[in-house]
Parts: sequence; structure tokens; C-alpha cells
Amino acid sequence: MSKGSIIDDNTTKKVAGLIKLDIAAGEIADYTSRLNAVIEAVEVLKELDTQAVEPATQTHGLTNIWREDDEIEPGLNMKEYPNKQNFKDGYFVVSSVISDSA
Amino acid sequence: MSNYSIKIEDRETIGSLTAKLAAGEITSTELVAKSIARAKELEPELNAFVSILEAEALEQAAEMDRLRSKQVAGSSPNTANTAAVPSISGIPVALKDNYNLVGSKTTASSKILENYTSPYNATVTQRMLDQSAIFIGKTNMDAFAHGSSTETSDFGPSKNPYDTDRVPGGSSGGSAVAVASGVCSYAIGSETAGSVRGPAAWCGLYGFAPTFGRISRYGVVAMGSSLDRPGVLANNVMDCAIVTDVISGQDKHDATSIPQPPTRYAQQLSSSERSLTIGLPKVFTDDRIDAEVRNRVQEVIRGYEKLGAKIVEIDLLDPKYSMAVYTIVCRSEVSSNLARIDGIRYGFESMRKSAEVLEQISYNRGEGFGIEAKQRSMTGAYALSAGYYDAYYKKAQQVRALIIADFKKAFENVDLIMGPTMPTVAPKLGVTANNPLFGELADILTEPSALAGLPCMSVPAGENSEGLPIGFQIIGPQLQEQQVLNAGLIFEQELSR
Repeated sequence: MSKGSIIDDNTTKKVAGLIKLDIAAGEIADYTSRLNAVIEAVEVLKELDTQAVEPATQTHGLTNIWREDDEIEPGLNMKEYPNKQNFKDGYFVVSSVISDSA
Repeated sequence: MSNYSIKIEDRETIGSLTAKLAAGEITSTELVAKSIARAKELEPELNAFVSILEAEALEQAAEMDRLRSKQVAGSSPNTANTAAVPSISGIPVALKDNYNLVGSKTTASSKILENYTSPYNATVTQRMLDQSAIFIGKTNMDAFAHGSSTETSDFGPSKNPYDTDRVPGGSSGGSAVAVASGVCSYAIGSETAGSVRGPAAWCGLYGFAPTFGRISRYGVVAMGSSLDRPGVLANNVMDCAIVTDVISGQDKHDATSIPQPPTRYAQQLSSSERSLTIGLPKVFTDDRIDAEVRNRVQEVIRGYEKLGAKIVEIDLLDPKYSMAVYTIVCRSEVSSNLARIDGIRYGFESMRKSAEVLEQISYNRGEGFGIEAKQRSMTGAYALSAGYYDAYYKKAQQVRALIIADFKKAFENVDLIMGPTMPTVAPKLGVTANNPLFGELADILTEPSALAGLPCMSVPAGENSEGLPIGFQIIGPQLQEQQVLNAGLIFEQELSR
């Protein structure tokens, strides 16, 4: 971690944990320096006064988009779902999330 | 310098192929066979494709030929291919590998989706299939569209047909290569910042992306959902219009699609209105831009002036702010969009096993994602996380509002804005190594209009002294695609040579 860096290795680990990314211990420092380079590059935004500005969440101004209240066929035909074998009766089979010791 | 590019004036277009099909000079089967043969021949050098759909395309072409011969036998004089506007029917096209197409692998050039088979069609692909387009293959891209070079593809970079030591641009690089090398007459790409315009500029093509929401994002592997928009890479303006007319229009599967019917740009395409007021942003032509690119673009703009346009220098916010906003907004959306890829429902599954589902997911994702996807997701998660949200994400959205307002104000005085598409010509392969911001920096001139969701087109403005293509872009106000296309047509007819 270089002097003045905003993100340290612990923050990198924390962020990776938040988004469920297993990062090898030996790679943490590299990601820390990448994240710092990015965060440093966006600091330029501090130059602009945005106190009275409403954040923009979209560009075309559409609101309250409703679809017709009709029946829609499911986009996926789950009977022929091609991507996983662990599929049973409309559900994906995973290991139990409630452990015995709980 | 090796050269696999075909001169743009010698390349086929939807119009030229439509005419040949209608005259019986060539069949769809011959077209597809030729296209696939060229794709295969060039693949070892150019790496434009992730998959080639030979059997499917040939089968579809044979069906098209049967239908066509029936129509001819029935002497119906007005089949689709003799109508005033050419049709994509029976013509080969390459599809970026982030579009779902039933029966094809849709990997988005990522290892984690290497074995993902599309269970449904994207709205864009469905609408094209409805018009009998023939998909000959899925094209290489930056993995998950995270880049401007195709160098972040987990399957290796594509090469620029003008010089195979250089990148073609990205993320729709494979699509650009397929068109510039004459494999097909047009291709489908997608743009989040400049992923259509950039590769179009670096490979000497027309690249068109309409207003955000004009074309449905349904079935396109998501990158930044407030920014993603499908687009077209082609050899002329008419083809950009024809294809947009096929794929545009509201879609009940995409709530951000604009509630308007499909467009009819091809019919209304015209170069007659020449007294345009064109804005030239000072910040797009300062000394951060390569001198040859700058000079060529200024030459083109003087060309418009000679034809009757009024050129006005305008002030826009410095694109360095757009780059920062884009970096935060897009990466935040990336971190959210990639969260769905867990290796449980689809995607790569690690050999390392855990009894804990969440731990299993982090093994799958940790091994499955490439460096770029990881670093972008992590930056996004950081910008969205408690304690940093206001400083980064909210701040970026506020500056995004300023950028949108900035364009709105500019368009009070000008019809269109023009400038270079990319700050340089195509750089050498390897340029992205150890540059965690290459994508965002290369796209600095396309990010402002992308953040405002504006319709825009990159137009091939000739080549520099090394024979490398230069692109200039035309940006219009929201929903004014016709004006952008018409201005592009003026260039194509009057200024391109």
C-alpha cells in the first residue's frame, strides 16, 4: 500500500467478501493497488459543486412503466433448461443452508 | 503490418446483397458458405469469433432459398427483397457473444459462462430471426464488455484487420473485425460507453447506437443497466438504419424501453438538409487528442461547413468528469449485475467444494471471473458500500445530472455535436496490461454522450499516415436518431473521399 492510498488490503478483503469473491491471499495486494488507481482517478469529481443537484438515476425520464395486465408465458422453458444438472421440480438443488449445529 | 481489411467501398452491404439475392445472382446458401469460409480462414489470425454456427446457418439459408424460389415461381413481384428498403432477410450477420440466441453458447467472452447455453432469445435476436436474418457466429468481445480493446476477453484478443499487431477496439471488437475483414456485411454490437463507436472508429466502419431505451436490452448479458444499448456496425449509413428499424421499439420484457413503435429511419433517410448547426466541443479537440485524428476531424467538419452547415464552437464539461462518473456508475452497476452469476444456477463451478452455499459461490466466482470483472465488481461494491455511497456513487449520479443538463443546454443552440470518436488510432496489442483504467480512458470521448443516453454514430473518416482508420462521431439530442443518420449520410455521399 503506497503512502496516501485510500484502500488498504483489509478493505480489499472486505469488499471481496461483500460480493462473494474468493481472492487468493497472494493476489490481494494487486487488487488493492488496482482499486486505489481507480479511486484516485475519480477524485476529480470533488472539483464540482453538486450541493443543489438531484442525482440522475436514468436518462429518458420515463416513469411508472406498467405492462398490460395479461398472461405472459415464462421466458424460460425450465423443462429443457440446458445449463445445470442440479435442477429438480423447478428448483436448483444446493447443499443445506441450515446447519445441524445451529 | 499485415492487412486483412477490405476497402470499405469494396465491401458488401445489405443493399448490395439484397439486390443480388433478388436478381438470383447468388443464393443465401452461397452467401452463408462464403461468409463462414472466410471467417474460418481468418480466424487463426484475427480471432473474431467465439463460436461459428455453421450447421444452423446453412440449414436456415437452405430454408430461405426454398422460400425464395417458391416466391419466384409464384411470380409475386413484390417480395421483401425487391421492396424500396432492402431487407436483412437471408443475409449473414455476426452477433456479439453477449446476446442470447437459442441453441448457441452465450459466453460474453468469459470463462465463467464458457458453457452457458442460451435458453431463450434476446429481443434483438428474436426480432432479427423474425426477419430471417442468418446468424453465422458469435463474436469475441472484452469479457462481459469490460474494456475497449477485446484484450480482457478470456479467450484472447481479436486483432485489427488493418494491422494485426493492434487491437480492434472494444468491447464489440469481434463484430467490428468480422465486418472490416469482409466476413459479413454488418454485425450486431452493444455499447455501454463507446463499445460500438470505438471499434467502428478503429476498424473503419459506421457504428450506430440510438437513444438509450430505443432498443430493448432484454437477453443481452447486462453490464451497466442504465447505460447498455444495442448497436449496429456496418459499411454504410443505410444499413445502420435498416437494422435499427428491425430491432428497435418498446419491449414488454424491458421496462426501460421507450414506449414507441419500431423506427422507420431507412425510409426517411435523406442527405438533403445541409444547413445544419453543428456544435464542436472545444474539449473534444484539445491537445489531449492525437494531432492526426484532430486534424482529420476538423477537415471533415470544414467539409460540412462548405456544404452549408454552420459550425459553432461549444463549451461542454471536460470529459475527465464523464470518465470519473462513468467509472463509478458503470462499475457499481457491474457489481450488481454480475452478482447473479453464482455457479449454482448457471456458470462455472469450482472443483473446490464447500458445504456452505455462500462459500461455494465465492469459490465459483473467485475462480471463474477474470481480473477485469473482479476489479470492476470490487470497485463498484466499494462505491456502493455503506460509508462510501455518498462520496462516490451519489456524487457520480449528481455529476451525471450535470452532464445531461450540459448537453440539453448545448442542443438549444445546435442541431448536432461532432468530434473525434477516439482520442487516438488503434493502439498496439498489450496496451491494457497493468492499466486498470484503459477501457475508461480510451472511451473518454464517448462517455459523455453515453451517460446522457444520446443517439450517436461513429463515421469512418479515412486513415492516418500509417493507414490506420480514424473515426469521427455525430451526437444528437434524445430520440433524434434520424438527424444523426442523415448527417452521416451527408458524409458518406459527399465527404468520404
